[in-house]
Amino acid sequence: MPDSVRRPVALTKLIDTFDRLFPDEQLSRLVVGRSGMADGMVAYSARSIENWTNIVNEAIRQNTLNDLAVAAADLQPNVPEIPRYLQEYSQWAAQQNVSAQGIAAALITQRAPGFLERARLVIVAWFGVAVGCFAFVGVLARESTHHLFDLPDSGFADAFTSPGESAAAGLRFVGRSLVVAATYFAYNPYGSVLVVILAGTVLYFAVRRRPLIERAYVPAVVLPIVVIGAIVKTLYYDLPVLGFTGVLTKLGIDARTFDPPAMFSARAEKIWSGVVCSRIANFPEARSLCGKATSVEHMQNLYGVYLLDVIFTIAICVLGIAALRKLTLPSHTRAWNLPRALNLALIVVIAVALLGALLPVPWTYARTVASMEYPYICTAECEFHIRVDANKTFAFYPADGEIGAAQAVPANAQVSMRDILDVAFTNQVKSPTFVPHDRGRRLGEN
Amino acid sequence: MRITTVVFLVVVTLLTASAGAEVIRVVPLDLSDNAVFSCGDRCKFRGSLPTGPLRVRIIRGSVSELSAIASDRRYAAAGCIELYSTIVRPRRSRRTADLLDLKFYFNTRWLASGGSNGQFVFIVEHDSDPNGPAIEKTAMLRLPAGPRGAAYFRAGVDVAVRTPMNVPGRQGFLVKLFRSTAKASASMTTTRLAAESSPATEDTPLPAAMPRATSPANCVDLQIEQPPVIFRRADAVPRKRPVHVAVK
Repeated sequence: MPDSVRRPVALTKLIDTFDRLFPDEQLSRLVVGRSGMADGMVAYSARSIENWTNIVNEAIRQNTLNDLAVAAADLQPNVPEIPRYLQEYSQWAAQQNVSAQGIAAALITQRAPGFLERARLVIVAWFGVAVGCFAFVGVLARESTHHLFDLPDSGFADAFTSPGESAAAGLRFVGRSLVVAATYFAYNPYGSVLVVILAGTVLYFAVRRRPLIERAYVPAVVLPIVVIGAIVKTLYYDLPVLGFTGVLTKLGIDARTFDPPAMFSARAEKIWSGVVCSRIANFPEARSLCGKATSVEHMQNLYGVYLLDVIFTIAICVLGIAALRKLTLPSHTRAWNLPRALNLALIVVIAVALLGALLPVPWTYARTVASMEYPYICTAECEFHIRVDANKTFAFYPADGEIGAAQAVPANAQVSMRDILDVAFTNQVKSPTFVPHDRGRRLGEN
Repeated sequence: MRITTVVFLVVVTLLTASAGAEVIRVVPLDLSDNAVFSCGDRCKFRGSLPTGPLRVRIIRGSVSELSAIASDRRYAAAGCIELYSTIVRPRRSRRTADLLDLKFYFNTRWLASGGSNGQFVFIVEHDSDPNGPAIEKTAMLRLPAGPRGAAYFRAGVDVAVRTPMNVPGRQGFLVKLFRSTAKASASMTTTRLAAESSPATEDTPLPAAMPRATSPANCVDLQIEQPPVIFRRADAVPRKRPVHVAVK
């Protein structure tokens, strides 16, 4: 066998699987002892991946790789990767026309597989998933703003043909969330410091009290936390404002306009009053809705609500992704190596919970803290221009409370950037409120 | 007094009254579809209305109900019916010629008592006082009873303000169950909004009452123009993909 032969992918994966299942040297000695290998020839190592590379090489040399796999499967059942990779390796070895000793002699000169060699596909897959999620969140962030305005054509279909704009929208979404965090720190420094201390304590506990965490880190605990956490978070922060649409053309300052379901009505009013009052709290007409708090105080509450939504979403996603990793890869904790059907079911449940927690966030973002600055174009009357994509721009006419297709900007127009909700809500709060008089005379009148 | 003298005096009185009577020029409307609004909708209509100042008279009830009242023999015997109405002077859009914007939004207080749909008749008239207040909440209207009065109401359109979906009694079991816990805070907010957004003495709708029959003196004169104007809700048009132009 020539020395230039590279270790086959199947063998790398088999070594990686053993490494994940039995990361301790003591455990590896137990597996080797059960397999019937001649123990004295194995060069054990404290570094797990190196340890298992040496053990597998020696098992190939002794022609006991099958026995090693059987011993490992006995100790860690429900790991279908072991027989699969073993079979793939055996097929590869059969094609080499070289004895086991010859293959071992070639492999023994090669170093233990590095991180990139072991996780190349995983890294590519996770990167792809992350980029996809990022772009989709960008599309949603843009789409949800257009849905909030109830534009005749939101450009959702076009979002997929212009990935650059979608990615830019995703970047704006993340950037704006960071700005909101920084701004909230200025609004409420004591509260922010408290949150940071709390997060640090949780992190410290997770790192320093690892055995305790490990004992609780099993599907029976993690799965309910992820699923229930996602449901509660979505019900409390996201769903109440999901149905808010047409806020420019309807009486957007009154949450009852959107007729939220009874179970969400109180929460919807609370969140939405933050959006409205952060714009119009200073008007006397808005006193009944906004109370005595100032616009800045309403803005602080609004930012706080959104940040808590983001923090809980991140926490649920981190826990859920870690659980998905545990479920998709062999684990040294037996509780995570589940029968195939159950394993698949849990993967689906967690994936759905994660999507349920993540996807509504851009919609909540559009209905809470998104920047609503749009070009404000004034000639005889003023209008806002809302750009949907390269070919479509809508105009909102505050005086008429209407949205239509935008016309070209006249040369003499004054163009500035203004908050579209500020203008729309101001018009709404200044509009007359009355009920037609009853047609009959009041009692007691002549 | 002789009977001829009495008849003469009555005729003179009637002629004197009619000579000084206000003339209301009505623009008859033909509603192309149902004008059903939800709470929170802006009150806007479209139609090829005549140029010049217009006003919209709003009366609680429906066209059929009010025209039946006008045709009722008891009112016809008296000669005139007297009822309160609300006059709104709309804004004509500079941008869209056929848009009639009444500048206000319907809210939950427009609903009838008991949480059912609110029913109103909107009648468009030529405005003899274009500089009058934007809203006259208690404008007295004295109409001739009989077919002419009924024709006046039939020149208007029915407008309904639809009850929100989520009113008590319409939810399913789970919603009711949840509502029982969330009820306290929700009702507090709703009550506060309803109570504080306007004084109850002025804007709370009263129970429906019948118009009053009155003598022909000061009864308005009606001129109903022809043909009727096709009228519809401003946003009732099916939405199409608008044609866009390049915007710099």
